[in-house]
Amino acid sequence: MNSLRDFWLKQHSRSEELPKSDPVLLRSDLYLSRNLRDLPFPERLSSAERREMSEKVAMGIRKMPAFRKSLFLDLGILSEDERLALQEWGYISSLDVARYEGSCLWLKDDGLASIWTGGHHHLCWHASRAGLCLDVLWKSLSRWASSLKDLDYAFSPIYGYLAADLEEWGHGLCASAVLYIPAIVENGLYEQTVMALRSLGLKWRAEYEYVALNLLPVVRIFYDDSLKCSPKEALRILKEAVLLVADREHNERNYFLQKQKLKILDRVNRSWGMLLFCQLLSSPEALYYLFNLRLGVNFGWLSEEYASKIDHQARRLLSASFRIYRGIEASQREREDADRARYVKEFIALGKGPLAIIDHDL
Amino acid sequence: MAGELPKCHICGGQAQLRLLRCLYGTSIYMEVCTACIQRYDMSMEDDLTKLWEYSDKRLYEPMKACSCCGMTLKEFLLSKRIGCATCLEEFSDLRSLLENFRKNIQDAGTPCPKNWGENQDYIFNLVVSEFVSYDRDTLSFLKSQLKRAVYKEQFETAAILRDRIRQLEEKHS
Repeated sequence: MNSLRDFWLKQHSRSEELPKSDPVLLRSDLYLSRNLRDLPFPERLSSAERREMSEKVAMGIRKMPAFRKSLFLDLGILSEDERLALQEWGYISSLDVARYEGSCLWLKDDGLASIWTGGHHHLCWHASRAGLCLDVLWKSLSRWASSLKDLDYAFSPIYGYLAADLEEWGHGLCASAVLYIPAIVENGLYEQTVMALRSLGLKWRAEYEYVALNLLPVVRIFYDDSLKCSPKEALRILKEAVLLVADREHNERNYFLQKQKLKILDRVNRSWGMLLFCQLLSSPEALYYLFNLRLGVNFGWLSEEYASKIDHQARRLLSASFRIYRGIEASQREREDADRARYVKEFIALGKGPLAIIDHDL
Repeated sequence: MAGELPKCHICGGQAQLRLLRCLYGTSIYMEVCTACIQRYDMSMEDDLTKLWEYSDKRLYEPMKACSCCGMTLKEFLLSKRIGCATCLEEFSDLRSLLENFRKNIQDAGTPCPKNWGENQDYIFNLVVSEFVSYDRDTLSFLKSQLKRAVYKEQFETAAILRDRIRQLEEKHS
Protein backbone atom coordinates (compact mmCIF):
# COMPACT_ATOMS: atom_id res chain seq x y z
CA MET A 1 0.00 0.00 0.00
CA ASN A 2 2.01 2.97 -1.18
CA SER A 3 -0.42 5.14 -3.08
CA LEU A 4 -3.40 7.18 -2.05
CA ARG A 5 -5.72 5.07 -4.22
CA ASP A 6 -4.57 1.79 -2.65
CA PHE A 7 -5.01 3.35 0.76
CA TRP A 8 -8.64 4.31 0.07
CA LEU A 9 -9.45 1.02 -1.63
CA LYS A 10 -8.13 -0.85 1.38
CA GLN A 11 -10.16 1.30 3.71
CA HIS A 12 -13.29 0.73 1.66
CA SER A 13 -12.82 -3.05 1.56
CA ARG A 14 -12.80 -3.27 5.35
CA SER A 15 -16.08 -4.56 6.70
CA GLU A 16 -16.09 -2.25 9.71
CA GLU A 17 -19.32 -1.22 11.29
CA LEU A 18 -19.99 2.42 10.47
CA PRO A 19 -20.37 4.76 13.46
CA LYS A 20 -23.94 5.67 14.37
CA SER A 21 -24.87 8.95 12.76
CA ASP A 22 -26.36 11.98 14.46
CA PRO A 23 -29.17 13.89 12.68
CA VAL A 24 -27.31 17.20 12.99
CA LEU A 25 -23.71 16.69 14.11
CA LEU A 26 -21.73 15.10 11.32
CA ARG A 27 -18.09 15.33 12.28
CA SER A 28 -15.54 16.97 14.59
CA ASP A 29 -12.06 17.99 13.46
CA LEU A 30 -9.12 19.27 15.48
CA TYR A 31 -5.96 20.80 14.03
CA LEU A 32 -2.91 21.45 16.18
CA SER A 33 0.02 23.35 14.71
CA ARG A 34 3.61 23.78 15.84
CA ASN A 35 6.74 25.35 14.39
CA LEU A 36 10.37 24.56 15.06
CA ARG A 37 12.59 27.08 16.77
CA ASP A 38 15.74 27.25 14.67
CA LEU A 39 14.19 27.36 11.21
CA PRO A 40 12.41 30.10 9.26
CA PHE A 41 8.63 29.63 9.16
CA PRO A 42 7.33 27.64 6.13
CA GLU A 43 6.71 30.67 3.88
CA ARG A 44 10.40 31.50 3.98
CA LEU A 45 11.69 27.94 3.67
CA SER A 46 13.35 26.85 0.45
CA SER A 47 12.40 23.42 -0.99
CA ALA A 48 15.66 21.94 0.26
CA GLU A 49 15.15 23.37 3.76
CA ARG A 50 11.58 22.12 3.77
CA ARG A 51 12.75 18.64 2.83
CA GLU A 52 15.40 18.78 5.53
CA MET A 53 12.80 19.84 8.09
CA SER A 54 10.41 17.06 7.03
CA GLU A 55 13.20 14.49 7.39
CA LYS A 56 13.99 15.83 10.83
CA VAL A 57 10.43 15.39 12.07
CA ALA A 58 9.96 12.11 10.18
CA MET A 59 12.40 10.43 12.56
CA GLY A 60 10.10 11.23 15.46
CA ILE A 61 6.86 10.44 13.62
CA ARG A 62 8.05 6.95 12.68
CA LYS A 63 8.52 6.17 16.36
CA MET A 64 4.97 7.16 17.25
CA PRO A 65 2.92 3.96 17.76
CA ALA A 66 -0.24 5.49 16.26
CA PHE A 67 1.56 6.36 13.02
CA ARG A 68 3.71 3.26 12.69
CA LYS A 69 1.48 1.84 9.95
CA SER A 70 0.71 5.20 8.39
CA LEU A 71 0.81 6.04 4.69
CA PHE A 72 3.63 8.44 3.83
CA LEU A 73 3.03 10.86 0.95
CA ASP A 74 5.53 13.31 -0.53
CA LEU A 75 3.26 16.13 -1.70
CA GLY A 76 5.85 17.43 -4.13
CA ILE A 77 5.61 14.31 -6.32
CA LEU A 78 1.85 13.77 -6.08
CA SER A 79 -0.38 14.62 -9.04
CA GLU A 80 -2.57 17.72 -9.00
CA ASP A 81 -5.67 15.52 -8.60
CA GLU A 82 -4.23 13.68 -5.62
CA ARG A 83 -3.42 16.95 -3.89
CA LEU A 84 -6.94 18.21 -4.63
CA ALA A 85 -8.40 15.02 -3.17
CA LEU A 86 -6.37 15.50 0.00
CA GLN A 87 -7.69 19.06 0.21
CA GLU A 88 -11.25 17.78 -0.17
CA TRP A 89 -10.69 15.45 2.76
CA GLY A 90 -9.31 18.33 4.88
CA TYR A 91 -5.86 16.77 5.32
CA ILE A 92 -4.07 19.67 3.64
CA SER A 93 -5.02 23.12 2.40
CA SER A 94 -4.34 24.97 -0.80
CA LEU A 95 -0.79 26.28 -1.35
CA ASP A 96 1.25 27.52 -4.30
CA VAL A 97 2.48 24.49 -6.23
CA ALA A 98 6.11 25.36 -5.48
CA ARG A 99 5.45 25.21 -1.77
CA TYR A 100 4.39 21.56 -1.92
CA GLU A 101 8.00 20.70 -2.78
CA GLY A 102 9.46 18.97 0.25
CA SER A 103 6.14 19.03 2.09
CA CYS A 104 4.99 15.63 3.44
CA LEU A 105 1.86 14.00 4.81
CA TRP A 106 1.44 10.99 7.08
CA LEU A 107 -2.01 9.41 6.99
CA LYS A 108 -2.98 7.12 9.85
CA ASP A 109 -4.13 3.68 8.68
CA ASP A 110 -7.79 4.38 9.52
CA GLY A 111 -7.68 7.75 7.72
CA LEU A 112 -8.90 9.55 10.84
CA ALA A 113 -5.66 11.34 11.66
CA SER A 114 -2.78 12.88 9.78
CA ILE A 115 0.38 14.91 10.19
CA TRP A 116 1.29 17.51 7.58
CA THR A 117 4.76 19.00 7.53
CA GLY A 118 5.88 22.13 5.70
CA GLY A 119 2.39 23.50 4.94
CA HIS A 120 1.29 26.64 6.74
CA HIS A 121 3.25 25.38 9.76
CA HIS A 122 6.23 23.13 10.19
CA LEU A 123 3.96 20.52 11.76
CA CYS A 124 0.20 20.24 11.76
CA TRP A 125 -1.67 17.36 13.39
CA HIS A 126 -5.21 16.65 12.35
CA ALA A 127 -7.70 14.30 13.96
CA SER A 128 -11.26 13.73 12.89
CA ARG A 129 -14.17 11.62 14.09
CA ALA A 130 -17.88 11.22 13.42
CA GLY A 131 -20.22 13.05 15.79
CA LEU A 132 -19.12 15.50 18.46
CA CYS A 133 -16.19 14.11 20.43
CA LEU A 134 -13.81 17.02 20.85
CA ASP A 135 -12.36 15.93 24.20
CA VAL A 136 -11.36 12.50 22.91
CA LEU A 137 -9.71 14.04 19.86
CA TRP A 138 -7.88 16.60 21.98
CA LYS A 139 -6.57 13.84 24.22
CA SER A 140 -5.11 11.99 21.22
CA LEU A 141 -3.68 15.14 19.66
CA SER A 142 -1.97 16.37 22.80
CA ARG A 143 -0.56 12.88 23.38
CA TRP A 144 0.86 12.73 19.85
CA ALA A 145 2.26 16.27 20.05
CA SER A 146 4.00 15.60 23.34
CA SER A 147 5.43 12.32 22.05
CA LEU A 148 7.76 14.32 19.76
CA LYS A 149 9.79 15.46 22.75
CA ASP A 150 13.09 15.84 20.94
CA LEU A 151 11.82 18.66 18.76
CA ASP A 152 12.46 22.19 19.95
CA TYR A 153 9.33 24.21 19.21
CA ALA A 154 9.22 27.98 18.65
CA PHE A 155 7.74 29.11 21.92
CA SER A 156 7.51 32.37 23.81
CA PRO A 157 6.46 32.46 27.48
CA ILE A 158 4.30 35.53 26.70
CA TYR A 159 2.67 34.50 23.42
CA GLY A 160 2.78 30.70 23.54
CA TYR A 161 3.65 28.70 20.42
CA LEU A 162 4.73 31.00 17.60
CA ALA A 163 3.67 31.04 13.95
CA ALA A 164 4.19 33.39 11.01
CA ASP A 165 0.67 34.78 11.36
CA LEU A 166 0.20 36.68 14.62
CA GLU A 167 -3.39 35.50 14.89
CA GLU A 168 -2.21 31.91 15.18
CA TRP A 169 0.00 32.47 18.21
CA GLY A 170 -0.92 30.74 21.43
CA HIS A 171 -1.78 27.10 21.90
CA GLY A 172 -2.13 26.55 18.13
CA LEU A 173 -5.39 24.60 18.30
CA CYS A 174 -8.19 25.04 15.79
CA ALA A 175 -11.31 23.10 16.74
CA SER A 176 -14.25 22.65 14.42
CA ALA A 177 -17.48 20.74 13.99
CA VAL A 178 -19.51 20.03 10.86
CA LEU A 179 -23.28 20.33 11.15
CA TYR A 180 -26.23 19.62 8.85
CA ILE A 181 -28.78 22.39 9.42
CA PRO A 182 -31.49 22.37 6.71
CA ALA A 183 -34.28 23.59 8.99
CA ILE A 184 -32.33 26.63 10.26
CA VAL A 185 -31.55 27.65 6.68
CA GLU A 186 -35.06 26.92 5.34
CA ASN A 187 -36.73 28.81 8.17
CA GLY A 188 -34.59 31.92 7.51
CA LEU A 189 -32.67 31.77 10.79
CA TYR A 190 -29.23 31.46 9.25
CA GLU A 191 -28.15 35.12 9.66
CA GLN A 192 -29.42 35.23 13.23
CA THR A 193 -27.48 32.09 14.16
CA VAL A 194 -24.31 33.41 12.52
CA MET A 195 -24.56 36.64 14.53
CA ALA A 196 -25.02 34.70 17.75
CA LEU A 197 -21.99 32.53 17.00
CA ARG A 198 -19.91 35.55 16.05
CA SER A 199 -20.64 37.14 19.41
CA LEU A 200 -19.10 34.06 21.04
CA GLY A 201 -15.94 34.44 18.92
CA LEU A 202 -16.79 31.52 16.63
CA LYS A 203 -16.40 31.44 12.88
CA TRP A 204 -18.61 29.75 10.35
CA ARG A 205 -18.36 28.65 6.73
CA ALA A 206 -20.10 26.37 4.24
CA GLU A 207 -18.44 22.94 4.21
CA TYR A 208 -18.99 22.37 0.49
CA GLU A 209 -18.27 25.83 -0.82
CA TYR A 210 -19.10 25.11 -4.45
CA VAL A 211 -22.74 24.28 -3.65
CA ALA A 212 -25.12 27.05 -2.53
CA LEU A 213 -25.90 26.89 1.18
CA ASN A 214 -29.67 26.74 0.63
CA LEU A 215 -29.19 23.60 -1.48
CA LEU A 216 -26.65 21.89 0.73
CA PRO A 217 -26.88 23.33 4.24
CA VAL A 218 -23.77 21.66 5.68
CA VAL A 219 -21.67 24.13 7.66
CA ARG A 220 -18.47 24.08 9.64
CA ILE A 221 -18.31 26.02 12.90
CA PHE A 222 -14.84 26.62 14.21
CA TYR A 223 -12.94 28.25 17.02
CA ASP A 224 -9.35 29.19 16.24
CA ASP A 225 -8.72 31.89 18.80
CA SER A 226 -5.42 30.59 19.94
CA LEU A 227 -4.26 33.37 22.26
CA LYS A 228 -7.45 34.24 24.07
CA CYS A 229 -8.05 31.15 26.16
CA SER A 230 -6.72 27.68 26.95
CA PRO A 231 -7.41 24.74 24.60
CA LYS A 232 -9.86 23.23 27.07
CA GLU A 233 -11.74 26.49 27.32
CA ALA A 234 -11.77 26.75 23.50
CA LEU A 235 -13.22 23.25 23.25
CA ARG A 236 -15.83 24.06 25.89
CA ILE A 237 -16.93 27.21 24.01
CA LEU A 238 -17.20 25.32 20.72
CA LYS A 239 -19.02 22.39 22.30
CA GLU A 240 -21.60 24.59 24.00
CA ALA A 241 -22.19 26.60 20.84
CA VAL A 242 -22.52 23.52 18.67
CA LEU A 243 -24.97 21.90 21.07
CA LEU A 244 -27.03 25.09 21.11
CA VAL A 245 -27.16 25.17 17.30
CA ALA A 246 -28.01 21.45 17.20
CA ASP A 247 -30.78 21.96 19.73
CA ARG A 248 -32.18 24.81 17.68
CA GLU A 249 -31.99 22.71 14.52
CA HIS A 250 -33.96 19.90 16.23
CA ASN A 251 -36.68 22.36 17.29
CA GLU A 252 -36.81 23.96 13.87
CA ARG A 253 -37.03 20.54 12.20
CA ASN A 254 -40.16 19.68 14.16
CA TYR A 255 -41.70 22.97 13.11
CA PHE A 256 -40.42 22.48 9.56
CA LEU A 257 -41.95 19.00 9.42
CA GLN A 258 -45.34 20.11 10.72
CA LYS A 259 -45.48 22.98 8.28
CA GLN A 260 -44.10 21.42 5.12
CA LYS A 261 -44.40 17.65 5.49
CA LEU A 262 -45.63 17.00 1.97
CA LYS A 263 -42.97 19.23 0.44
CA ILE A 264 -40.16 17.46 2.29
CA LEU A 265 -41.54 14.03 1.52
CA ASP A 266 -41.71 15.01 -2.13
CA ARG A 267 -38.12 16.23 -2.04
CA VAL A 268 -36.91 12.98 -0.45
CA ASN A 269 -38.78 10.83 -2.98
CA ARG A 270 -37.60 12.88 -5.94
CA SER A 271 -34.01 12.59 -4.72
CA TRP A 272 -34.40 8.85 -4.34
CA GLY A 273 -35.77 8.59 -7.85
CA MET A 274 -33.06 10.78 -9.34
CA LEU A 275 -30.30 8.75 -7.71
CA LEU A 276 -31.86 5.48 -8.85
CA PHE A 277 -32.46 6.43 -12.46
CA CYS A 278 -29.96 9.11 -13.44
CA GLN A 279 -27.20 8.24 -15.88
CA LEU A 280 -24.85 11.15 -15.24
CA LEU A 281 -24.33 12.57 -11.78
CA SER A 282 -22.03 15.47 -10.92
CA SER A 283 -20.50 15.82 -7.49
CA PRO A 284 -22.67 18.76 -6.23
CA GLU A 285 -25.82 17.00 -7.48
CA ALA A 286 -24.87 13.77 -5.76
CA LEU A 287 -24.33 15.57 -2.46
CA TYR A 288 -27.60 17.50 -2.80
CA TYR A 289 -29.69 14.37 -3.41
CA LEU A 290 -27.89 12.30 -0.80
CA PHE A 291 -28.37 14.90 1.92
CA ASN A 292 -32.06 15.09 0.98
CA LEU A 293 -32.22 11.36 1.64
CA ARG A 294 -30.46 11.95 4.94
CA LEU A 295 -33.28 14.32 5.87
CA GLY A 296 -35.69 11.51 5.04
CA VAL A 297 -33.79 9.25 7.47
CA ASN A 298 -34.09 11.84 10.23
CA PHE A 299 -37.87 12.02 9.74
CA GLY A 300 -38.11 8.23 9.87
CA TRP A 301 -38.96 7.65 6.21
CA LEU A 302 -35.77 5.77 5.42
CA SER A 303 -33.72 3.16 7.19
CA GLU A 304 -31.20 4.45 9.80
CA GLU A 305 -28.23 2.82 8.10
CA TYR A 306 -28.52 5.23 5.16
CA ALA A 307 -27.43 8.21 7.27
CA SER A 308 -24.15 6.52 8.30
CA LYS A 309 -23.58 5.43 4.70
CA ILE A 310 -24.21 8.92 3.36
CA ASP A 311 -21.86 10.51 5.93
CA HIS A 312 -19.24 7.91 5.06
CA GLN A 313 -19.59 8.35 1.29
CA ALA A 314 -20.12 12.11 0.98
CA ARG A 315 -16.46 13.14 0.75
CA ARG A 316 -15.64 10.13 -1.41
CA LEU A 317 -18.03 11.48 -4.06
CA LEU A 318 -16.27 14.85 -4.35
CA SER A 319 -14.67 15.43 -7.74
CA ALA A 320 -10.98 14.74 -7.22
CA SER A 321 -11.52 12.13 -4.49
CA PHE A 322 -13.89 10.16 -6.71
CA ARG A 323 -11.52 10.28 -9.67
CA ILE A 324 -8.65 8.98 -7.54
CA TYR A 325 -10.85 6.33 -5.95
CA ARG A 326 -12.14 5.01 -9.30
CA GLY A 327 -8.94 5.59 -11.27
CA ILE A 328 -10.44 8.15 -13.68
CA GLU A 329 -8.45 10.93 -15.32
CA ALA A 330 -9.40 14.57 -14.79
CA SER A 331 -10.19 15.11 -18.48
CA GLN A 332 -12.79 12.28 -18.59
CA ARG A 333 -15.63 14.33 -17.12
CA GLU A 334 -18.49 12.34 -18.69
CA ARG A 335 -17.01 9.03 -17.62
CA GLU A 336 -16.60 10.40 -14.12
CA ASP A 337 -20.25 11.50 -13.91
CA ALA A 338 -21.52 8.22 -15.36
CA ASP A 339 -19.39 6.21 -12.96
CA ARG A 340 -20.56 8.32 -10.03
CA ALA A 341 -24.20 7.71 -10.99
CA ARG A 342 -23.53 3.96 -11.12
CA TYR A 343 -21.63 3.97 -7.84
CA VAL A 344 -24.34 5.88 -5.94
CA LYS A 345 -27.05 3.67 -7.44
CA GLU A 346 -25.29 0.58 -6.12
CA PHE A 347 -25.36 1.60 -2.51
CA ILE A 348 -28.76 3.30 -2.69
CA ALA A 349 -30.52 0.33 -4.25
CA LEU A 350 -29.43 -2.00 -1.45
CA GLY A 351 -32.00 -0.68 1.02
CA LYS A 352 -35.68 -0.05 1.13
CA GLY A 353 -36.74 3.22 -0.50
CA PRO A 354 -39.10 5.85 0.87
CA LEU A 355 -41.83 5.08 -1.72
CA ALA A 356 -43.18 2.30 0.46
CA ILE A 357 -43.84 4.72 3.31
CA ILE A 358 -46.14 7.29 1.74
CA ASP A 359 -48.20 8.94 4.46
CA HIS A 360 -51.85 8.68 3.43
CA ASP A 361 -53.01 11.04 6.20
CA LEU A 362 -51.50 14.07 4.52
CA MET B 1 6.04 79.69 22.67
CA ALA B 2 8.38 78.74 19.91
CA GLY B 3 10.73 76.76 22.15
CA GLU B 4 8.01 74.25 23.00
CA LEU B 5 7.06 73.52 19.41
CA PRO B 6 8.21 70.14 18.09
CA LYS B 7 10.71 69.76 15.29
CA CYS B 8 9.95 68.56 11.77
CA HIS B 9 10.91 64.89 11.36
CA ILE B 10 12.30 65.58 7.90
CA CYS B 11 14.19 68.85 8.00
CA GLY B 12 14.46 69.45 11.72
CA GLY B 13 12.79 72.87 11.42
CA GLN B 14 9.72 74.06 13.27
CA ALA B 15 6.80 71.71 12.75
CA GLN B 16 3.32 72.98 11.96
CA LEU B 17 1.45 69.71 11.56
CA ARG B 18 1.17 66.56 13.51
CA LEU B 19 0.15 63.41 11.67
CA LEU B 20 -1.09 60.34 13.42
CA ARG B 21 -0.86 56.77 12.28
CA CYS B 22 -2.55 53.85 14.00
CA LEU B 23 -0.54 50.67 13.86
CA TYR B 24 -1.54 47.57 15.85
CA GLY B 25 -3.50 49.81 18.19
CA THR B 26 -0.49 52.06 18.80
CA SER B 27 -0.64 55.73 17.91
CA ILE B 28 2.51 56.85 16.20
CA TYR B 29 2.93 60.59 15.74
CA MET B 30 5.02 62.42 13.24
CA GLU B 31 5.54 66.17 13.17
CA VAL B 32 6.27 67.90 9.88
CA CYS B 33 6.48 71.43 8.58
CA THR B 34 4.35 72.69 5.68
CA ALA B 35 7.54 73.60 3.81
CA CYS B 36 8.56 69.93 3.65
CA ILE B 37 5.13 68.93 2.46
CA GLN B 38 5.27 71.55 -0.29
CA ARG B 39 8.85 70.63 -1.15
CA TYR B 40 7.85 67.02 -1.72
CA ASP B 41 4.68 68.21 -3.50
CA MET B 42 2.44 66.02 -1.39
CA SER B 43 -1.31 66.13 -1.27
CA MET B 44 -3.24 65.20 1.83
CA GLU B 45 -4.89 62.12 0.35
CA ASP B 46 -2.35 60.17 -1.66
CA ASP B 47 1.12 61.35 -1.07
CA LEU B 48 1.28 61.42 2.69
CA THR B 49 2.05 57.73 2.53
CA LYS B 50 5.28 58.79 0.86
CA LEU B 51 6.00 60.90 3.88
CA TRP B 52 5.53 57.92 6.13
CA GLU B 53 7.72 55.84 3.88
CA TYR B 54 10.37 58.52 4.09
CA SER B 55 10.06 58.50 7.86
CA ASP B 56 10.15 54.69 7.98
CA LYS B 57 13.23 54.67 5.82
CA ARG B 58 14.95 56.99 8.23
CA LEU B 59 13.83 54.94 11.19
CA TYR B 60 14.28 51.41 9.94
CA GLU B 61 16.96 51.54 7.29
CA PRO B 62 19.92 51.14 9.65
CA MET B 63 18.21 48.17 11.27
CA LYS B 64 19.70 44.80 10.46
CA ALA B 65 17.81 41.87 8.98
CA CYS B 66 17.01 38.82 11.12
CA SER B 67 20.00 36.51 11.31
CA CYS B 68 17.86 33.38 10.88
CA CYS B 69 15.34 34.25 8.14
CA GLY B 70 16.52 37.62 6.79
CA MET B 71 13.27 39.44 7.54
CA THR B 72 13.45 43.20 8.15
CA LEU B 73 11.09 45.20 10.32
CA LYS B 74 9.77 46.95 7.23
CA GLU B 75 8.79 43.58 5.74
CA PHE B 76 6.95 42.72 8.91
CA LEU B 77 5.06 46.03 8.84
CA LEU B 78 3.95 45.36 5.30
CA SER B 79 3.07 41.67 5.60
CA LYS B 80 2.09 41.46 9.29
CA ARG B 81 3.83 38.08 9.38
CA ILE B 82 7.07 37.26 11.11
CA GLY B 83 9.73 35.14 9.45
CA CYS B 84 10.89 32.95 12.33
CA ALA B 85 11.01 32.73 16.10
CA THR B 86 14.36 34.56 16.20
CA CYS B 87 12.74 37.74 14.79
CA LEU B 88 11.03 38.23 18.12
CA GLU B 89 14.35 38.19 19.96
CA GLU B 90 16.20 40.38 17.49
CA PHE B 91 13.82 43.29 16.95
CA SER B 92 13.06 45.40 19.98
CA ASP B 93 10.60 47.54 17.96
CA LEU B 94 8.68 44.40 16.99
CA ARG B 95 8.45 43.43 20.63
CA SER B 96 7.00 46.80 21.59
CA LEU B 97 4.39 46.58 18.81
CA LEU B 98 3.45 43.09 19.91
CA GLU B 99 3.22 44.13 23.55
CA ASN B 100 0.56 46.55 22.45
CA PHE B 101 -1.12 43.86 20.37
CA ARG B 102 -1.23 41.60 23.43
CA LYS B 103 -2.48 44.42 25.67
CA ASN B 104 -5.32 45.02 23.23
CA ILE B 105 -6.30 41.38 23.47
CA GLN B 106 -6.38 41.47 27.25
CA ASP B 107 -8.11 44.84 27.53
CA ALA B 108 -10.77 44.42 24.91
CA GLY B 109 -11.28 40.70 25.32
CA THR B 110 -11.03 40.32 21.56
CA PRO B 111 -8.17 38.57 19.82
CA CYS B 112 -7.18 41.48 17.66
CA PRO B 113 -8.54 44.73 16.26
CA LYS B 114 -11.64 44.07 14.19
CA ASN B 115 -10.16 45.57 11.03
CA TRP B 116 -7.08 43.38 11.28
CA GLY B 117 -6.15 42.08 7.87
CA GLU B 118 -9.26 43.38 6.16
CA ASN B 119 -7.32 45.73 3.95
CA GLN B 120 -3.62 45.26 3.93
CA ASP B 121 -3.06 48.57 2.14
CA TYR B 122 -4.38 50.40 5.13
CA ILE B 123 -1.72 49.16 7.49
CA PHE B 124 -0.56 52.76 7.33
CA ASN B 125 -3.72 54.37 8.56
CA LEU B 126 -3.59 58.08 8.09
CA VAL B 127 -5.83 60.01 10.36
CA VAL B 128 -6.11 63.42 8.82
CA SER B 129 -8.13 64.91 11.64
CA GLU B 130 -5.19 64.96 14.01
CA PHE B 131 -3.64 68.23 12.84
CA VAL B 132 -2.41 70.53 15.51
CA SER B 133 -2.62 74.21 14.87
CA TYR B 134 0.82 75.38 15.81
CA ASP B 135 0.33 78.61 13.85
CA ARG B 136 -1.92 80.24 11.29
CA ASP B 137 -0.03 78.66 8.37
CA THR B 138 -1.82 75.41 9.21
CA LEU B 139 -5.19 77.01 8.50
CA SER B 140 -4.13 78.31 5.11
CA PHE B 141 -2.49 74.99 4.33
CA LEU B 142 -5.66 73.13 5.22
CA LYS B 143 -7.69 75.46 3.04
CA SER B 144 -5.41 74.85 0.08
CA GLN B 145 -5.71 71.12 0.66
CA LEU B 146 -9.49 71.42 0.85
CA LYS B 147 -9.54 73.09 -2.57
CA ARG B 148 -7.31 70.38 -3.93
CA ALA B 149 -9.47 67.62 -2.47
CA VAL B 150 -12.63 69.15 -3.95
CA TYR B 151 -10.91 69.56 -7.32
CA LYS B 152 -9.91 65.88 -7.23
CA GLU B 153 -13.43 64.91 -6.13
CA GLN B 154 -12.12 63.33 -2.92
CA PHE B 155 -15.15 64.33 -0.93
CA GLU B 156 -14.52 62.22 2.16
CA THR B 157 -11.16 63.85 2.71
CA ALA B 158 -12.71 67.22 1.91
CA ALA B 159 -15.34 66.71 4.60
CA ILE B 160 -12.69 65.91 7.21
CA LEU B 161 -10.68 68.96 6.19
CA ARG B 162 -13.77 71.18 6.22
CA ASP B 163 -14.63 70.12 9.78
CA ARG B 164 -11.09 70.65 10.93
CA ILE B 165 -10.95 74.13 9.37
CA ARG B 166 -14.21 75.03 11.11
CA GLN B 167 -12.83 73.87 14.45
CA LEU B 168 -9.66 75.88 14.00
CA GLU B 169 -11.52 79.01 12.92
CA GLU B 170 -13.80 78.81 15.94
CA LYS B 171 -10.77 78.37 18.17
CA HIS B 172 -9.01 81.41 16.68
CA SER B 173 -12.06 83.61 16.78
